[in-house]
Amino acid sequence: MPAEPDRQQKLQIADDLKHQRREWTIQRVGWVIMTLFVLASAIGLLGHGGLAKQELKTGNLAMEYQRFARYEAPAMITVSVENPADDPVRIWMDADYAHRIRFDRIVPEPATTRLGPDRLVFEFSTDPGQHSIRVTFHYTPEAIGPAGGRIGLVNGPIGSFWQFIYP
Amino acid sequence: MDSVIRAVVIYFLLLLLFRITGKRSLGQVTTFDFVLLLIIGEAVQNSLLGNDYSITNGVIAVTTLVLLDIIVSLAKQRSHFVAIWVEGTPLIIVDNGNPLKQRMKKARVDEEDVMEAARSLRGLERLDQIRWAVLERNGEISIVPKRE
Repeated sequence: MPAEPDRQQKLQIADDLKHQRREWTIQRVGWVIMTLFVLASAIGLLGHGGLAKQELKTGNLAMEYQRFARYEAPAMITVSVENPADDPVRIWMDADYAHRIRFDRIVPEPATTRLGPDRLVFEFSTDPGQHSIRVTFHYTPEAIGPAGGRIGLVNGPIGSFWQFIYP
Repeated sequence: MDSVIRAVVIYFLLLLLFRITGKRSLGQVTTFDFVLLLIIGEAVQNSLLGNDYSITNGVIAVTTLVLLDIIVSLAKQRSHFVAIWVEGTPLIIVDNGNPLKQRMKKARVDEEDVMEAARSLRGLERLDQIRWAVLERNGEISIVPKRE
């Protein structure tokens, strides 16, 4: 420990070494937290790529979505259907989830969109003999916090997913 | 309401970040730091305003930030606790010509920083001519020379 400065000399100063030491400790902890924050962001824990991306497959329905997304930032869900049994292909999304987001664009555009009691149903026409379709929902989250959603095929498999929307 | 919440969150997050950075980093504003401050301003701009680019929203954000600054300054004046946590405390780093090395290391200040301040502020030539060197709350180093 360094020698305490001689208090008999007349330097009027409001120093507080005890507080200063506490502050240094907090600063170092803060640096560690900042490093972890940046690392977490780099691997995708705060959204956009990396660990944020999640894939899900159930029956002939496959989905790719973002486990971690950000409020008011563009996000997407890609739904693929192999060997669709119906024509048109009808993909539904539960209404609770749909109300938490703003649809920006759906590629390809659905032929029709119908509102059911608890779900939105999107109809996509396919060419005869088409073996798979791939639909991308571009959207913007409009609510912060955890959100669970379900997407499925009418009379077909259902995929449940969970995501967290950062502020 | 949204704009006010955004401004309050950004204000306190930035306050926390800059306090964690340490006073020395803020005291030495180089040209690069100045550019960095501008970029930080740009980076928080969108989170502050969201998608609303109206004059009303801009005025709400600016008024909230300025008001918060006034409130914090009043709180610092009335409470010693708030003052030392928001502003920090000054730190003696040279005592009668002796550098207090451990403190300097923790505060990320070296003898060259002290001598730079001693030369530019007081025209001193050597460390032993310094009676006190203090790392002030704003990160600057002030020098009290020894009496002749």
